[in-house]
Amino acid sequence: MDSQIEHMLALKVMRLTRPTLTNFENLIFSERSDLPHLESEESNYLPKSNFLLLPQSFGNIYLGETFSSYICVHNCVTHAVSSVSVKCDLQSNNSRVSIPIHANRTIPTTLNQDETLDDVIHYEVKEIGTHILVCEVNYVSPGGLPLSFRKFFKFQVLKPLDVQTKFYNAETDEVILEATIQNITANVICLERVELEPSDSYTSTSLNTTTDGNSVFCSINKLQPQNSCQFLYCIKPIPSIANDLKTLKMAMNIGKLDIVWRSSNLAERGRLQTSQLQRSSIEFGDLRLSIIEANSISEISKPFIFNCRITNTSTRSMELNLNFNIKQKHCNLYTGSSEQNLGLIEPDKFKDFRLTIFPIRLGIVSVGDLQISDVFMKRIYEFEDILQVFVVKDLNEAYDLQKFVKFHDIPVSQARQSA
Amino acid sequence: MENSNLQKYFDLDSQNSDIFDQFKDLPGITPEVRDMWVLPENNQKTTTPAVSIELFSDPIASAIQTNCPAEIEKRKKHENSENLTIDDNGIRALIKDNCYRSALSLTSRLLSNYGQGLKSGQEIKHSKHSLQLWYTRIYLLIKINELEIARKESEAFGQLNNADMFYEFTEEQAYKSKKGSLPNFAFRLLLSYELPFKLNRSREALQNLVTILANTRKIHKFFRDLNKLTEAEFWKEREIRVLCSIINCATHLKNFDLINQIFDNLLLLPDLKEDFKFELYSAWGRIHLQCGDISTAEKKFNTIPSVNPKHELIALVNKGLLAVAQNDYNEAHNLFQQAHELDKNNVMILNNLAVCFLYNGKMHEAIAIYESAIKNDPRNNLHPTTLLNCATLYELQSNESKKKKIDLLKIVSANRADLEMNIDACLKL
Repeated sequence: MDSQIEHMLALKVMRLTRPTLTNFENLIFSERSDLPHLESEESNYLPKSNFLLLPQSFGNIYLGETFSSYICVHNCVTHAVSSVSVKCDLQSNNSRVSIPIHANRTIPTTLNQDETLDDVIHYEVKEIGTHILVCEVNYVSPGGLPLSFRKFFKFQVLKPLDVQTKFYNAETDEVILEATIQNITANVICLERVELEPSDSYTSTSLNTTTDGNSVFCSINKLQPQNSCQFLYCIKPIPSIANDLKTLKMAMNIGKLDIVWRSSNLAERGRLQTSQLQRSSIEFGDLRLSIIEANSISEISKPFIFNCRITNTSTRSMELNLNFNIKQKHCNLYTGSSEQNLGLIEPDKFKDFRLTIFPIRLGIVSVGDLQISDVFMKRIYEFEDILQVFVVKDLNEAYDLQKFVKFHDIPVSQARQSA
Repeated sequence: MENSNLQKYFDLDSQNSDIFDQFKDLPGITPEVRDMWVLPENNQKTTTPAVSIELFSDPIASAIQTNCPAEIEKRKKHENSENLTIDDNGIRALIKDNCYRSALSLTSRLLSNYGQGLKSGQEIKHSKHSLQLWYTRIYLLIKINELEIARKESEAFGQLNNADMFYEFTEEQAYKSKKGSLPNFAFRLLLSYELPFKLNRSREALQNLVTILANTRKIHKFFRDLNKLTEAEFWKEREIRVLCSIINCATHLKNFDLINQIFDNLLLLPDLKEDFKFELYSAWGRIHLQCGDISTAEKKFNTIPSVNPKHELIALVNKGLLAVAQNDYNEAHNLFQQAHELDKNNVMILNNLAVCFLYNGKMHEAIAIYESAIKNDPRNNLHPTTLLNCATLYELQSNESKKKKIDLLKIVSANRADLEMNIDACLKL
């Protein structure tokens, strides 16, 4: 602690970021007919960076990365120094942690002249802001006097990524999560893993791979500084919760995003996890209409039949009537009885019914114009856009609904290639 | 003596033969094929270069003077300076011995005979040889990192598109039957890419390379269409060089889309040698590794199976670097150790082995590797990276790093005339 005295030990600290791949050789192109060309020279001029270069500065660090340092205590006097020990603490704005060091050595120890006590320390930084590495060396002088000194190394922990989330509640129980991840580091990074770890109430499907298992980002999974990319997840409540609307309403925690990235500093790894993401609340009102069975594709001028379920989400019993509230602009006509009685439904109970429309227009058709009225309360509930269906001319032609391309197009282009 | 030596080149130039034919690139490649280039517009412009500095101070000697003046006696000199001739052979001998500054002085002496020396003459006459000397001079300036001088002296050349750089535009009778570019192809690449790249103007270098690539492809295609296979092969090699240069630029600019595109382009070239393909995928993998894409790197490394000991060595080094990227320095150490067994004198492998020792907490072993490598083969192992790493470790080891670094400086001074990196930066003096 006393800076006045000349200490018998020297403390050296080197931050161990990843080494850099370099080659300082100025390899310059020449041909055999050129004056400076040497016979021994390499025959190709591909980048030859394969020398590992040690880090040349203490540098900054990003949240989620691991701080590593080489700590070396050197005896710089001509006699032995006993009871030598080193302690490393990492001090941040809110905490102070002790980093383990010399796990495999008996400490304190005696250092003879020119001997060192050295080790590598690791610690994953979990907080943003100024950090100070405090290294304290304790030893006993030959005269039996306990001595100690400290050294401080200040560095900044910076925020590497900006994560923004948006939720979309689908008409079904599914929730779509859109996560935008922005690289706010100074370098190119590679997002190695971006996954949604669902909470106990949900299961999650990543929508970021194509059908053959490759990433939708192709080979371009590197993110330049300030650039961002979006990831989509489809989240479904587990069956026991999906069938119980009350629990479903309560299950707000969807899960955490788990992000692993590697920097362009020879793949230095960082990992971040968001806090629990909260879905937006579900408001069913008094009645909930859901589609329980329907095709996504249908033929024109043929009846299209689908099954619906109406659930009483209010606290009272309801006597329900269903009728089609046809507005003149819509071209898709319901067929069948324009008004039917659905009967009495107790709270939290449901009733299934079947509807038929007769599509007369090609393309994506949205089904709506449904009106349900509560006889007791004389209240009318209107439902729009309850279902989308893709109306085609001929069902025997195969369609890939993900791409909206006719399948029979593909063999034609293949035939062209082989010809 | 000097003048008569030079007269030889002029005579040969005017006799429509070629001194450089003695270093034929490939059998069957005539000077016309080698010097072929797409003619620019006849712009009537002339090129008037001049040497701006003749003697270069010796940075290693001045470091010695500052730190340990007694050692100046042991300063490395060219081994065979008595027999050194003042001509191309002299330059070659000096370059072979890494005496880049001496070779530079020689280029300026030879150029003064063309009226392009320090005191430039009235009439400037370009010949294949004078331009070859200029190419060598700029080449050496880049080698010893005198980039500002290189920039200044090469300004007069532009992109070598002035009228007096082409036989077709020169009025001399003697050249009537000759066609093509006076400056060699490598000079074009040097001025368009290597110099701006070193000057940190990668974007400009990239733009220039696009033009060079277009011309090179045109000529390559020309010969391929004529079914002249030897010539086509010769120009294909040049196209590969240009594409490799673009990769270097794009790597520096971190333009990964371009890098992938150029690698795909390279793989489309006909009849690539297996060795080259192997190194191509290896370099591709390393670029991915550097920017953190470990899985793609691994895929690239495993694309071409290794079939000979040379591949085996590269594959081991690649695996070692992959382990480093994955923070597994024990595994990396094992792999570099295996590579070391295959090639005991490889300074790159020794260096990487030492780095692994440090990350595994074994600083003393790391230092021992550098010290023994430098002691055993100072000529080859005084590599800028090994020196910089060794000096870094000395600083970590104790308070006595200064003394140990000066010991390194003494070894450098006694063994190397010039280094390809600034000595003070190398040894952190």
